[in-house]
Amino acid sequence: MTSYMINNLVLSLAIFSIGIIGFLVKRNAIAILMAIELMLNAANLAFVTFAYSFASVDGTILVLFVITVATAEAAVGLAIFIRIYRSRGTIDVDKMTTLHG
Amino acid sequence: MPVSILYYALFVIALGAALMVVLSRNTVYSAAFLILTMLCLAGIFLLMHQEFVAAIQVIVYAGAIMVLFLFVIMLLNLREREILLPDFRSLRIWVVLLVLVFFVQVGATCFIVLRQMRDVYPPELPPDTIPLIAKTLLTKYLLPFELVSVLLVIAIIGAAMIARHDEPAEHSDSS
Repeated sequence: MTSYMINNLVLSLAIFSIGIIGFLVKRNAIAILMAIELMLNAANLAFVTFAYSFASVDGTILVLFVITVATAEAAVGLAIFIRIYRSRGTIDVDKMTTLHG
Repeated sequence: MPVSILYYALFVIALGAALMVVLSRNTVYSAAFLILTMLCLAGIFLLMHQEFVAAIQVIVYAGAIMVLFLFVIMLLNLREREILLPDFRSLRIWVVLLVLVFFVQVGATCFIVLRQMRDVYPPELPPDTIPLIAKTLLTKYLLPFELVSVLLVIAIIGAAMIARHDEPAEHSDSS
Protein backbone atom coordinates (compact mmCIF):
# COMPACT_ATOMS: atom_id res chain seq x y z
CA MET A 1 0.00 0.00 0.00
CA THR A 2 2.10 2.85 -1.27
CA SER A 3 -0.66 5.33 -0.57
CA TYR A 4 0.62 5.27 3.00
CA MET A 5 3.86 6.77 1.78
CA ILE A 6 2.64 10.14 0.59
CA ASN A 7 0.13 10.52 3.40
CA ASN A 8 2.74 9.63 5.99
CA LEU A 9 5.28 12.01 4.55
CA VAL A 10 2.74 14.82 4.54
CA LEU A 11 1.87 14.01 8.16
CA SER A 12 5.56 13.91 9.01
CA LEU A 13 6.16 17.30 7.40
CA ALA A 14 3.16 18.78 9.17
CA ILE A 15 4.24 17.51 12.59
CA PHE A 16 7.80 18.69 11.92
CA SER A 17 6.56 22.17 11.01
CA ILE A 18 4.38 22.28 14.12
CA GLY A 19 7.44 21.29 16.13
CA ILE A 20 9.52 24.06 14.60
CA ILE A 21 6.80 26.61 15.30
CA GLY A 22 6.58 25.45 18.88
CA PHE A 23 10.35 25.59 19.19
CA LEU A 24 10.41 29.19 17.96
CA VAL A 25 7.35 30.48 19.76
CA LYS A 26 7.37 28.85 23.17
CA ARG A 27 9.13 30.47 26.10
CA ASN A 28 8.93 27.66 28.60
CA ALA A 29 12.11 25.61 28.28
CA ILE A 30 10.33 22.30 28.91
CA ALA A 31 7.78 23.13 26.21
CA ILE A 32 10.66 23.81 23.83
CA LEU A 33 12.14 20.39 24.65
CA MET A 34 8.74 18.85 23.94
CA ALA A 35 8.66 20.61 20.58
CA ILE A 36 12.01 19.00 19.82
CA GLU A 37 10.56 15.61 20.74
CA LEU A 38 7.71 16.36 18.32
CA MET A 39 10.21 16.98 15.53
CA LEU A 40 12.08 13.77 16.34
CA ASN A 41 8.78 11.88 16.16
CA ALA A 42 8.11 13.35 12.73
CA ALA A 43 11.55 12.20 11.59
CA ASN A 44 10.83 8.73 12.99
CA LEU A 45 7.60 8.58 11.03
CA ALA A 46 9.46 9.45 7.82
CA PHE A 47 12.13 6.80 8.54
CA VAL A 48 9.56 4.09 9.21
CA THR A 49 7.60 5.08 6.13
CA PHE A 50 10.64 4.74 3.91
CA ALA A 51 11.64 1.49 5.58
CA TYR A 52 8.17 0.13 4.86
CA SER A 53 7.91 1.45 1.34
CA PHE A 54 11.29 0.18 0.20
CA ALA A 55 11.06 -3.07 2.22
CA SER A 56 14.34 -2.26 3.96
CA VAL A 57 15.20 -2.63 7.62
CA ASP A 58 17.78 0.17 7.82
CA GLY A 59 15.19 2.87 8.47
CA THR A 60 13.80 0.85 11.35
CA ILE A 61 17.23 0.61 12.94
CA LEU A 62 17.81 4.34 12.50
CA VAL A 63 14.56 4.91 14.36
CA LEU A 64 15.92 2.85 17.26
CA PHE A 65 19.03 5.03 17.34
CA VAL A 66 16.95 8.21 17.17
CA ILE A 67 14.83 7.08 20.11
CA THR A 68 17.93 6.24 22.15
CA VAL A 69 19.56 9.59 21.47
CA ALA A 70 16.27 11.36 22.23
CA THR A 71 16.22 9.64 25.60
CA ALA A 72 19.75 10.82 26.38
CA GLU A 73 18.93 14.34 25.19
CA ALA A 74 15.77 14.55 27.29
CA ALA A 75 17.57 13.32 30.40
CA VAL A 76 20.44 15.80 30.10
CA GLY A 77 18.19 18.69 29.04
CA LEU A 78 15.77 18.19 31.89
CA ALA A 79 18.67 17.94 34.35
CA ILE A 80 20.00 21.27 33.06
CA PHE A 81 16.55 22.85 33.43
CA ILE A 82 16.26 21.60 37.00
CA ARG A 83 19.63 23.18 37.70
CA ILE A 84 18.67 26.47 36.07
CA TYR A 85 15.36 26.58 37.91
CA ARG A 86 17.14 25.95 41.19
CA SER A 87 19.61 28.78 40.70
CA ARG A 88 17.34 31.32 38.97
CA GLY A 89 13.77 30.44 39.91
CA THR A 90 12.53 30.48 36.31
CA ILE A 91 12.84 28.49 33.12
CA ASP A 92 11.78 31.31 30.80
CA VAL A 93 14.27 31.08 27.93
CA ASP A 94 13.92 34.82 27.26
CA LYS A 95 15.46 35.45 30.67
CA MET A 96 18.43 33.16 30.17
CA THR A 97 20.69 35.90 28.87
CA THR A 98 23.90 35.31 30.80
CA LEU A 99 25.79 34.37 27.65
CA HIS A 100 24.11 37.08 25.61
CA GLY A 101 27.29 39.14 25.33
CA MET B 1 -12.42 -0.37 4.14
CA PRO B 2 -11.98 -0.28 7.93
CA VAL B 3 -8.18 -0.14 7.82
CA SER B 4 -8.14 3.10 5.88
CA ILE B 5 -10.80 4.60 8.18
CA LEU B 6 -8.59 3.68 11.14
CA TYR B 7 -5.58 5.14 9.36
CA TYR B 8 -7.25 8.46 8.66
CA ALA B 9 -8.61 8.63 12.20
CA LEU B 10 -5.05 8.18 13.52
CA PHE B 11 -3.82 10.75 11.00
CA VAL B 12 -6.31 13.40 12.11
CA ILE B 13 -5.84 12.70 15.83
CA ALA B 14 -2.05 12.82 15.52
CA LEU B 15 -2.21 16.14 13.67
CA GLY B 16 -4.67 17.67 16.10
CA ALA B 17 -2.74 16.48 19.14
CA ALA B 18 0.50 17.84 17.68
CA LEU B 19 -1.19 21.20 17.21
CA MET B 20 -2.47 21.12 20.76
CA VAL B 21 1.06 20.44 22.06
CA VAL B 22 2.02 23.87 20.77
CA LEU B 23 -1.25 25.67 21.44
CA SER B 24 -2.06 24.63 24.99
CA ARG B 25 -0.87 26.98 27.69
CA ASN B 26 -0.45 24.47 30.47
CA THR B 27 2.71 22.40 30.16
CA VAL B 28 1.04 19.34 31.65
CA TYR B 29 -1.60 19.43 28.91
CA SER B 30 1.15 19.81 26.33
CA ALA B 31 2.83 16.69 27.66
CA ALA B 32 -0.47 14.78 27.62
CA PHE B 33 -1.12 15.76 24.00
CA LEU B 34 2.45 14.79 23.12
CA ILE B 35 1.77 11.33 24.56
CA LEU B 36 -1.40 11.16 22.43
CA THR B 37 0.61 12.09 19.32
CA MET B 38 3.15 9.37 20.04
CA LEU B 39 0.45 6.76 20.57
CA CYS B 40 -1.20 7.69 17.27
CA LEU B 41 2.14 7.41 15.49
CA ALA B 42 2.63 4.01 17.11
CA GLY B 43 -0.76 3.02 15.70
CA ILE B 44 0.33 4.14 12.24
CA PHE B 45 3.53 2.07 12.64
CA LEU B 46 1.37 -0.92 13.49
CA LEU B 47 -0.71 -0.43 10.36
CA MET B 48 2.55 -0.55 8.39
CA HIS B 49 3.43 -3.89 10.07
CA GLN B 50 6.36 -2.38 11.98
CA GLU B 51 5.41 -3.99 15.26
CA PHE B 52 8.82 -3.68 16.88
CA VAL B 53 9.12 0.07 16.34
CA ALA B 54 5.54 0.54 17.52
CA ALA B 55 6.30 -1.34 20.74
CA ILE B 56 9.49 0.67 21.30
CA GLN B 57 7.60 3.87 20.57
CA VAL B 58 4.99 3.08 23.20
CA ILE B 59 7.37 1.70 25.83
CA VAL B 60 10.30 4.09 25.54
CA TYR B 61 8.81 7.27 24.13
CA ALA B 62 5.28 7.40 25.53
CA GLY B 63 6.34 5.52 28.63
CA ALA B 64 9.81 6.43 29.80
CA ILE B 65 10.59 9.79 28.19
CA MET B 66 7.21 11.36 28.82
CA VAL B 67 7.18 10.13 32.40
CA LEU B 68 10.52 11.90 32.77
CA PHE B 69 8.99 15.08 31.31
CA LEU B 70 5.93 14.92 33.55
CA PHE B 71 8.12 14.20 36.56
CA VAL B 72 10.22 17.30 35.92
CA ILE B 73 7.16 19.46 35.22
CA MET B 74 5.63 18.42 38.52
CA LEU B 75 8.97 18.71 40.31
CA LEU B 76 9.48 22.30 39.20
CA ASN B 77 5.86 23.05 40.21
CA LEU B 78 5.39 26.01 37.91
CA ARG B 79 2.80 28.30 39.35
CA GLU B 80 0.16 30.16 37.40
CA ARG B 81 2.26 33.21 36.71
CA GLU B 82 5.03 31.00 35.42
CA ILE B 83 2.87 29.24 32.87
CA LEU B 84 4.45 31.21 30.09
CA LEU B 85 2.36 32.28 27.16
CA PRO B 86 3.72 31.76 23.67
CA ASP B 87 5.51 34.78 22.33
CA PHE B 88 4.17 35.70 18.90
CA ARG B 89 5.66 39.18 18.95
CA SER B 90 8.20 40.95 16.79
CA LEU B 91 10.38 39.00 14.38
CA ARG B 92 9.35 35.55 15.35
CA ILE B 93 6.14 35.60 13.32
CA TRP B 94 8.16 36.24 10.15
CA VAL B 95 10.46 33.37 11.01
CA VAL B 96 7.43 31.17 11.46
CA LEU B 97 5.97 32.25 8.11
CA LEU B 98 9.27 31.58 6.36
CA VAL B 99 9.51 28.13 7.91
CA LEU B 100 5.94 27.37 6.85
CA VAL B 101 6.56 28.46 3.26
CA PHE B 102 9.73 26.38 3.19
CA PHE B 103 8.02 23.25 4.35
CA VAL B 104 5.05 23.72 2.04
CA GLN B 105 7.52 23.84 -0.82
CA VAL B 106 9.35 20.76 0.39
CA GLY B 107 6.04 18.98 0.79
CA ALA B 108 4.91 19.87 -2.71
CA THR B 109 8.21 18.63 -4.12
CA CYS B 110 7.97 15.35 -2.23
CA PHE B 111 4.39 14.95 -3.36
CA ILE B 112 5.21 15.36 -7.05
CA VAL B 113 8.33 13.20 -6.95
CA LEU B 114 6.72 10.39 -4.99
CA ARG B 115 3.66 10.36 -7.18
CA GLN B 116 5.91 9.68 -10.14
CA MET B 117 7.75 6.98 -8.20
CA ARG B 118 4.57 5.23 -7.15
CA ASP B 119 4.61 2.61 -9.88
CA VAL B 120 8.35 2.09 -9.86
CA TYR B 121 8.66 0.69 -6.35
CA PRO B 122 5.93 -1.72 -5.35
CA PRO B 123 6.67 -2.54 -1.72
CA GLU B 124 7.35 -6.15 -0.92
CA LEU B 125 6.94 -6.81 2.74
CA PRO B 126 9.09 -9.30 4.65
CA PRO B 127 6.68 -11.39 6.70
CA ASP B 128 8.43 -11.01 10.04
CA THR B 129 10.90 -8.16 10.38
CA ILE B 130 12.04 -8.60 13.98
CA PRO B 131 14.69 -11.33 13.34
CA LEU B 132 15.95 -9.27 10.42
CA ILE B 133 16.17 -6.18 12.63
CA ALA B 134 18.12 -8.09 15.26
CA LYS B 135 20.50 -9.57 12.71
CA THR B 136 21.17 -6.24 11.00
CA LEU B 137 21.53 -4.39 14.29
CA LEU B 138 24.20 -6.78 15.53
CA THR B 139 26.16 -7.11 12.29
CA LYS B 140 25.97 -4.11 9.99
CA TYR B 141 25.19 -1.59 12.73
CA LEU B 142 27.24 -3.13 15.52
CA LEU B 143 29.57 -0.15 16.00
CA PRO B 144 26.79 2.50 16.17
CA PHE B 145 24.90 0.18 18.51
CA GLU B 146 27.82 0.03 20.93
CA LEU B 147 28.49 3.76 20.61
CA VAL B 148 24.88 4.55 21.40
CA SER B 149 25.04 2.38 24.52
CA VAL B 150 28.15 4.27 25.64
CA LEU B 151 26.33 7.54 24.90
CA LEU B 152 23.44 6.44 27.10
CA VAL B 153 25.77 5.72 30.00
CA ILE B 154 27.49 9.09 29.57
CA ALA B 155 24.15 10.91 29.38
CA ILE B 156 22.77 9.23 32.48
CA ILE B 157 25.91 9.92 34.52
CA GLY B 158 25.96 13.50 33.23
CA ALA B 159 22.30 14.06 34.04
CA ALA B 160 22.77 12.69 37.54
CA MET B 161 25.80 14.92 38.08
CA ILE B 162 24.11 18.05 36.72
CA ALA B 163 20.86 17.65 38.64
CA ARG B 164 22.61 16.65 41.86
CA HIS B 165 21.57 18.70 44.82
CA ASP B 166 24.37 20.85 46.13
CA GLU B 167 24.89 21.35 49.82
CA PRO B 168 23.66 24.41 51.77
CA ALA B 169 25.25 27.12 49.60
CA GLU B 170 22.16 27.95 47.54
CA HIS B 171 23.58 29.91 44.66
CA SER B 172 27.00 28.40 44.25
CA ASP B 173 27.18 27.18 40.68
CA SER B 174 30.51 25.46 41.04
CA SER B 175 30.05 21.74 40.72
